[in-house]
Amino acid sequence: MKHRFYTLFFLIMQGLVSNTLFAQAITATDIVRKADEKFNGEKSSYSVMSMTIVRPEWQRTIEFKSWTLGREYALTLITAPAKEAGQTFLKRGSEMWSWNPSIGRLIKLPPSMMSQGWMGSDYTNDDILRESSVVKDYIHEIVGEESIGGRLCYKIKMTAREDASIVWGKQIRWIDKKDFLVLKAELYDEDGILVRTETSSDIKTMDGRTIPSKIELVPEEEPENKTLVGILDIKFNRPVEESFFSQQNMKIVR
Amino acid sequence: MVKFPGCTLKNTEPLRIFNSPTGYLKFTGNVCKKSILIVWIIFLFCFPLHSQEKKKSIALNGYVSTMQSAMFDSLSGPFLNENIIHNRLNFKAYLSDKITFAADFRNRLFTGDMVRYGRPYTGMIGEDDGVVDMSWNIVEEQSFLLNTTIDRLWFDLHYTNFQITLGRQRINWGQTFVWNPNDIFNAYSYFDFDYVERPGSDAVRLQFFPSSSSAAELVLKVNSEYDITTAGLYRFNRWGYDIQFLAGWMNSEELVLGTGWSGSIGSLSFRGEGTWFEPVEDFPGDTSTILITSGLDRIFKDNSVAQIQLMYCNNPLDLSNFGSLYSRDFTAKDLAFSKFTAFGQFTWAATPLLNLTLAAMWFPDLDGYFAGPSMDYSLSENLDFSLIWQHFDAVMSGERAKINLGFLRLKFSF
Repeated sequence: MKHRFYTLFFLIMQGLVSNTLFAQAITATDIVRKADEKFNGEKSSYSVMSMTIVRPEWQRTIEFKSWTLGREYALTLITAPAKEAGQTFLKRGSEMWSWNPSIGRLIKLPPSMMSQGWMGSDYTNDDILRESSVVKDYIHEIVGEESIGGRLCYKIKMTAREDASIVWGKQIRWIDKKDFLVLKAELYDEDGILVRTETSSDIKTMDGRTIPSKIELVPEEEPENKTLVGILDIKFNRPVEESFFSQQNMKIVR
Repeated sequence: MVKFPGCTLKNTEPLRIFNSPTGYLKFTGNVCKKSILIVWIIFLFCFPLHSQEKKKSIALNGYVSTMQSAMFDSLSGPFLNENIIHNRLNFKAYLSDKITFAADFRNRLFTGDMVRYGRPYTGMIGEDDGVVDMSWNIVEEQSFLLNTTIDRLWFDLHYTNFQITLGRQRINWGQTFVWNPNDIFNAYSYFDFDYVERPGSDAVRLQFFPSSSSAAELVLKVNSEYDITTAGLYRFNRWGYDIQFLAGWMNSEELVLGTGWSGSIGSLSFRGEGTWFEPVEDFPGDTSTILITSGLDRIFKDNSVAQIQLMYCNNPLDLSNFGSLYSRDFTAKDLAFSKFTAFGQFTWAATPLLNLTLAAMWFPDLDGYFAGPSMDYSLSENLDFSLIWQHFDAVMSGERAKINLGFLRLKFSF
């Protein structure tokens, strides 16, 4: 089983990238809500991404294409490395499958597969699963303005609501005032200890939107163990039918 | 360079060839003259629907591996050493939006003690169970053997909810991971780890997809003896489970009825398959075979994997030698050597690059077991190293026998 890659499309599905990284907004909760709505409320997306796990002695990269429709449907095709290329993953609601072309086998995946990590990536399941609640599960507050990479940003403190069952106790996000991009995020645990820092860079216009095309995730305790996400191509709201997300298409899509 | 029977293509040429219908014809003409007319009709039919999006119309991937193996019954006894340099080429041509052509080549160079045994061994390697013999022992000398096999050669056409695949293909109906009694066209062999692709079946396969998560299939397969295997399958998704039913006729002699499922219980995947094989000649005789297997698997947060599977068979085969476990004409009916068989495996993802696996199988009727420790290490992005050990210990034909197989493999994927 090539379970290592199962997480990839949950990453897409759960809107981690869109949610955390491309958020746009106007005032504290509004900023976050707008960002959330803008990227999770989108009808559909198509993206080509790479993800690189960096360790002091080695690094490994995976590349994939993803199609999504709302939050219910996703189809991901691995394009590199060679050994895994051609495998696809389908999500329809809570049902998930993988297709392995070399053995011609469709494999049903358990819903709990959503909670798997990838190759020691700094993404954890909770990041992925709980990101959708950035609006509801936090109290938002503008705590200042700071410049990140020459861009003036709102600095927003997000404190977890007490009743929210989320992994982060607190987040601080720096959101660009002009293009409403999350340029930096600090994620703290329930004890208020910084766990991870995410920074975005290489801002480009893709499909008419200004977005960062590189994201770096650095865990606080092991800063040499990084995860790099690259957005090679992205398209928003291209018409795609629900029937695109089918077992039949898993075997055809390329 | 990609070599086909009848033509040679340089890597740079195919794109140009496929850009024009005439080039396309030229290509197919070289590959398979007999198919020209049929393909051309299909192509014309689909041409107006040709996608505007620019995608590669040709793809080639595969791997090269070198595997050193040693077989012995005890460390103090004689070793049988073998090396296999193994190259796999998977070639695909996307003739249109709707039509795909595939040809997969398996090239192997054998050297070592087994080859020196001569015909029985080399003959087995050059064997092809398909209706067309596409396995060639190209060079067969005293100390080495070069074999090329085409184990996939198909055209696939999909249109709306229908898909038809014609030619040598893998039809995999399995739901579980170790034994697949539902996989009646070409059963998977757990022990033959260096050939997960398995030989193809020469078949016509018609698939219909009533919904996004269900499928109905009809397959007709012919083998080298002109025996026919034909079956239908219906698979659907209900209550969080994939459930399938199949019925058919296997190797022109047996009725086959089967069912299989995949689902989950909490964080455990729960899968199973059952098939009833009934030889028609002595129906309702006592030679029917029922194989039922079910298992649980779980993937942990660090990507470690645990699996267990049990199998019951009312009519297990006699295991006379360990070679049967690797036999080429391994069918879905030949999975059991004991009324009950149990399997367990744990893969520990020690680091993101290193997997350590321990697998074990228990055959109570043979008073025997299999133990298989292995190690997989990712040396670089496309280079993998594996160390695999297989140890069998069982009573066969009244005598206790042991065998060890050790494998070292270096595999480069491209």
